[in-house]
Amino acid sequence: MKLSSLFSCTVLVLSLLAVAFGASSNEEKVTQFFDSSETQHTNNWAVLVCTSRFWFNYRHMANTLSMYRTVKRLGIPDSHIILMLADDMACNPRNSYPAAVYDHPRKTTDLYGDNVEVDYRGYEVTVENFIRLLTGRVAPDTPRNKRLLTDDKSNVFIYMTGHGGEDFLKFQDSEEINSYDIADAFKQMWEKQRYREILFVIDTCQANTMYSKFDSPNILSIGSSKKGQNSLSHYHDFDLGVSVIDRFTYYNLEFFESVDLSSKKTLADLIAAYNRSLIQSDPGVRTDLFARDLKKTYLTDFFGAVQNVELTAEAFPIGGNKVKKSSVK
Amino acid sequence: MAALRDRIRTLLGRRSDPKTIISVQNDRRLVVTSILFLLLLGLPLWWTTTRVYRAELPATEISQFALDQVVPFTFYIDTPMTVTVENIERMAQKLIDKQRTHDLRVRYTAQVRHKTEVPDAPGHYTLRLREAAVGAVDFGVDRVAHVSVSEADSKKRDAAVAKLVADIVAKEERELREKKGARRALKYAPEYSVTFTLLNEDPVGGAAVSWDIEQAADIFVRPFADTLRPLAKLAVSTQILHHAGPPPVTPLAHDNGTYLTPDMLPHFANSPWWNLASTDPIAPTISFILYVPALRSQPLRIEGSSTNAFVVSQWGGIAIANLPGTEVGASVVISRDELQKYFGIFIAQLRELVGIRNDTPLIPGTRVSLQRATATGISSWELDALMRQWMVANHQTAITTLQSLVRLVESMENMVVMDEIKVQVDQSLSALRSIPQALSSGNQLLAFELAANASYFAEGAFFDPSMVSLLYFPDQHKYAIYLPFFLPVTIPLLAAIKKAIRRDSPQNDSKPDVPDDKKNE
Amino acid sequence: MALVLSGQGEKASPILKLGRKYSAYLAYPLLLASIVWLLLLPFQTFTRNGYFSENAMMPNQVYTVFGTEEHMSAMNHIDAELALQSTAKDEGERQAGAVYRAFNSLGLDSEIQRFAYSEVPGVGSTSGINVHGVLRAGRSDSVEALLIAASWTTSSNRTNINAVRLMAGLAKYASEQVYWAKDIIFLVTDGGEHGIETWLKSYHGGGGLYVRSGIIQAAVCLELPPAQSYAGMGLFFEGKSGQLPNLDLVNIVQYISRVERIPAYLHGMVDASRSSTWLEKYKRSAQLLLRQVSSLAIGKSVGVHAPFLRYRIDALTLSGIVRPTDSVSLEYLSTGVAPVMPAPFTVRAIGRTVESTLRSLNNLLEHFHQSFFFYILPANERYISIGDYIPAAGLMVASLLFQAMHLWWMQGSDDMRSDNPATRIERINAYYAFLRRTLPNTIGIIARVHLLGVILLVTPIAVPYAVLTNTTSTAYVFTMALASVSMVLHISDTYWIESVQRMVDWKQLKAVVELYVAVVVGCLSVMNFSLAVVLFGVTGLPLVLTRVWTSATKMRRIANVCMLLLASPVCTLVLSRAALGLSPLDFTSSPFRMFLGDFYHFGSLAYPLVCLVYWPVNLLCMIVALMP
Repeated sequence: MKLSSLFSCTVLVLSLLAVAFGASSNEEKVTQFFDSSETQHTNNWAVLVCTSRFWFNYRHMANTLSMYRTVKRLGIPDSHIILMLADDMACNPRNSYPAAVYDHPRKTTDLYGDNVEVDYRGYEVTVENFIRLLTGRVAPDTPRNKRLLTDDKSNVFIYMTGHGGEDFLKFQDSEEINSYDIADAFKQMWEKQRYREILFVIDTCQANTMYSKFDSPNILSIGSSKKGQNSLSHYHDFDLGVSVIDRFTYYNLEFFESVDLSSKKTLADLIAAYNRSLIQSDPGVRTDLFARDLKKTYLTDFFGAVQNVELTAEAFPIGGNKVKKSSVK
Repeated sequence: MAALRDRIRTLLGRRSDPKTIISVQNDRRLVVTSILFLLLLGLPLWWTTTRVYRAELPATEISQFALDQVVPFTFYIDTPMTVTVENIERMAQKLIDKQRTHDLRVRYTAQVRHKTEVPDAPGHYTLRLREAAVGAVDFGVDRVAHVSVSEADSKKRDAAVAKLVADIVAKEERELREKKGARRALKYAPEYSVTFTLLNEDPVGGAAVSWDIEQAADIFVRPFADTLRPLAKLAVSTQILHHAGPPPVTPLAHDNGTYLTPDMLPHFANSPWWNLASTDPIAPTISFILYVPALRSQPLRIEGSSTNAFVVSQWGGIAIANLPGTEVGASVVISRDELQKYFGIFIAQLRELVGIRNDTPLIPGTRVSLQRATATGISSWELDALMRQWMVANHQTAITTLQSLVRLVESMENMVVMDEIKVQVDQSLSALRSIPQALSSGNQLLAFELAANASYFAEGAFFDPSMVSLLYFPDQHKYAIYLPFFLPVTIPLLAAIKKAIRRDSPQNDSKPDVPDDKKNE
Repeated sequence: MALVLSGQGEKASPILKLGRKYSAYLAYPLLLASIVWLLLLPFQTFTRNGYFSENAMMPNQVYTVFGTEEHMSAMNHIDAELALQSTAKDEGERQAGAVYRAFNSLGLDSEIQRFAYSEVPGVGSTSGINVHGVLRAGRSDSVEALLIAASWTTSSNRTNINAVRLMAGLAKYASEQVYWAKDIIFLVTDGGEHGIETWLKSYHGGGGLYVRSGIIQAAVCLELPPAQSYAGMGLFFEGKSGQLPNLDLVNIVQYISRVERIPAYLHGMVDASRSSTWLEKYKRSAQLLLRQVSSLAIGKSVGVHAPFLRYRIDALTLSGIVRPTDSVSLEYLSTGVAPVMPAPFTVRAIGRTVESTLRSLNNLLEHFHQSFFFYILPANERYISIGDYIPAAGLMVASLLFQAMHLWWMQGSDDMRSDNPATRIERINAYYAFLRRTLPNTIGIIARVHLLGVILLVTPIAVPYAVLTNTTSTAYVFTMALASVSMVLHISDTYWIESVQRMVDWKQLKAVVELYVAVVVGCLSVMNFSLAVVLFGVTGLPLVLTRVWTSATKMRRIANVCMLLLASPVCTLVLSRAALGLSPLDFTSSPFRMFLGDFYHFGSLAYPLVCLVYWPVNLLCMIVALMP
């Protein structure tokens, strides 16, 4: 009798302890969400721009669409992605695989399958529209999906690809944007607190010159080749008759294949993975404007949709009888 | 003229006087002076017509605009006991100032009066004091608080009341700077677009679900929206996604049912196939999802949550509705009673997202109770706190936006500044200037509206589509265009002027230019 | 020119004074320099390597598939159609009908166009028949088109049936593919260049064609004489009036054909090998250049691509090079029976060349605009652009101008040229009086001689029959020649008598004519460099060398006139025909009729230049030589 009661007491005590412990640990976890805010950002946006048109620039479209797929896979929803494609490769009559865009000669993934939302297409991709998008000075009748509705808690990933040169990037074969324009746009964004951090990646010839004029805080820039160097294409598809992907973007995507929703890989890992002899140009990184340590900046800070989530503790007694809530100190 | 005429005559073969072929000095002088005259007239004309139009903005006033704000609370004491309101006010103000920890230029002050005609407006609160054994504060739904004081001594009573007043005011002032709720709540906007979505993951393997939403929204959401209307409009819409498909994260299996761990939650709402987009171009969206999992996953629980619901910062909320006892192929309607439970969760989440603070001021040694506004979802105290919070934020936004605008306009001298921008800046400034008066006269609602207007106009001016720097070009462009026109013309002009000056200069006066033949005569 | 003609007696700028002092000596070195420049062009060290300017084309970046069983059977289908007995009136109708049915069976929109033309205006009428089929691009609107053309007979007067068969095979291949952004038009004509011209005129708004497509971006013409296999292809690209296709088109066809192992050589000439001496290389280059220059100057090329160039359609001709020992070719030459197709590997190679060219042209988004439009090619895959050869023309023009300046300065009496400031006004008056006397006469002489040229130009067109039958054309030319000589003598006689009163000055006449020739040669050199050089050679050069001595004795004058007679058009024609081995006195066939026909049909400038510049200037030179 005594033994059983002792035993039951022990069990009771232990279970109480377990519950108490569990409860407190739960509470701890819940509170953790509130405080684990080194980054203090609540949403991620992506702006992906392809600036070239014409059939022989297929690879720029494939670059941008591959980035789009990656960014979506890692969690950013379409409502937070602005995709600008200057031409339509999938439905180009010269495409012997109509309605499909591939980035590998083996044609394993169709980048343009279902569920692609292109926000700016064709001739809407202009320098003026791009600057208006970044600074927020769009016309009043612009639809929601063409606006960059970021605030001071948004991390923005901006990816640009096309033909470029020293301090400029060619839009649509007819106009150019230069590095001062982009730097000015970022300055305006910072003035109006339209971003928390920006990751600016650019894959063109002489790309590193494009970020040389930035001077707003919290911008990390990565370019594919330095001044005087060309960025090269990677795979040529003899079936389609065009090159289908650029080297820099290809090796970035290869790295991202090992990144998933919960990955803890950092930007330092990404940059360390750049192999100059494979990319055949010198990628550049500009970190002086970026406050955080690259080794502590996760890729999911920019590429994922790590949203701050809080469990709802209790419901509100709406529609019921008057209820009092009290607290004692 | 005569010389020219003679020259032509010579060429045409008529008899001419060979002596008068040369003499163009007078002509030259005339030509040079006429050109100089035209230049004097033309340059100012060109300058004024090619100047860009820039409306004058009150730059100095904006750059020196004071960010300071004083927000007065008025407390009316309604009691049979004797209290000295001046003492209370003095002591309360001292306590508030002592507790101030932030460096914002906003000061909350307290005024204490005897109860007279109390206006039913934000900022005016009635404190009903009565004797009791234990000190307690009971906040009502409307702007009344029942305070039980246990002190017998009038001085101590005054101190206790002053402490209560100071705690109420100082807590709110502290919360202006708090980070905790700020990350979760959306910023002020004049209109929010709220969407309630019923998501059915798999109707084929389970049941087809619908809900009695019209009635439920009318009962549960409309009162909330109506109460909030003076501050912000809520545009409510609802939809049902009948075949949503699986979520991006697969729930983990448990002995009975499935569960989600807290780190899986952030990816839960990001399925590309759930069409949750809004069509309104500007209003921020708040999306609430009532998720009905597939039958094979039911019951789906969130680990560590008693409500099976969670809030996503600045986005909306998700609640999971397990419908036990449904059969495959049935058609289920979620009834009003069940919806009351879920809407309780949604209202709690909506309160958090809008920015309403749920907690009460903690006063040591006192029991504090707060009456929940079950009819509307938001009590007057909470509404007023939200209003003041938004007013301060708008005030600051308006001023900083105007200052950014002025900086921008001054940095680009060639940019056109249209009249509309000036009009909006003026409107914003006049609203800002009227705020202190509204506050000091106790009309906090008017002050809120003025601040909202000021912010609206300031942002309208700053985000005006004409202020894109690409559209304007620097002065060097002007020179690059004009130079090819005028440079080839000015060179011969200058040469002629130089010759004219040399001719008229003193050393030539001694030898007048006479035709050779005249000399021979 | 104002500087050159500025009057005497007025204050001249130092540069002008310097020019006048030395201009007598400048003309000859400049002339020599231009000749040396031309002689240096064939040196390959001074030329550049060809390259592709247009990024969009991406030649040879895609697999080629032409040559399957189905394509071969489509090619044989033409023979089957031809073999059908039909009730056609003549050979042309039968061939056209066969091709029409074959195109229809392949799914092309086809049409037959019948027309009539006369080679030389107003003389006789030949009928012709065109057939064309349009392959519509499935996924594109028919805004642009590519064209493949063939004539029923090659330039060497053999049957071109191999090309027509190949076109059928290509049409079959093209109809199987989904990636065409432009329509493809297959055109077969039996009227040679005239047929193409008629078709193009109707296509571009002349009416008469029902089946049309969009703007034609480029055209490839095929000439495949009967043979078992080809040693290579000849690439011909010259048009009339100096028009040339964009250099990109020539370069990609050369590149693609080399990759497909049936290389296309310019004019069918293989380059001198690397190991040969520099003299060998020079001779080869010079030969190629001379062929181009003569083609461009005369306006005659191999193949039917020339009319396309007038409509801004870049076009060239690929012609198969037959080995002299080719059995099939020899058999055809002896029996005249239409031969079988060449060996499959040959057919596949040529077909793939055309296929790859079509793929590259398909990638084009705009008209050819990146590469050169003015060039001459000294060797395969090398080029000389206009910047490199136009200085020669500039030097020629400069030599004429300097001599004109010198002569203008030297006209009139010597006292008009002194530097004495006291007599300045008198000098000016005397100068203007002199001009008043002589300038109208000079202009009158020039006008009268040119009137003769106008008559020469207009008569064959206004009175065609009378002029262009066998005997009358010969008589016509000789009559004109006699008329010219008599006019020359008359003019020089008239002014001989009046020369005492100085009514005309030969120096002034020569200066004005030199200016006129300089302007003509200068403007022409930009449009048609070859024609300008030839024109300078036959007009400018004799002009510079006329009456260069200080004293004009009778012997010298006669020698001068003989030289000018040798340089006259009639003599040039006679000599060239003798050099080519044809009967010298027969003017019924080229070049006179050819020039005339080209001028009438294609707007070629050779004939007007001969009538309005060459002939009159020659006569004027004689007048200058004979004047006192």
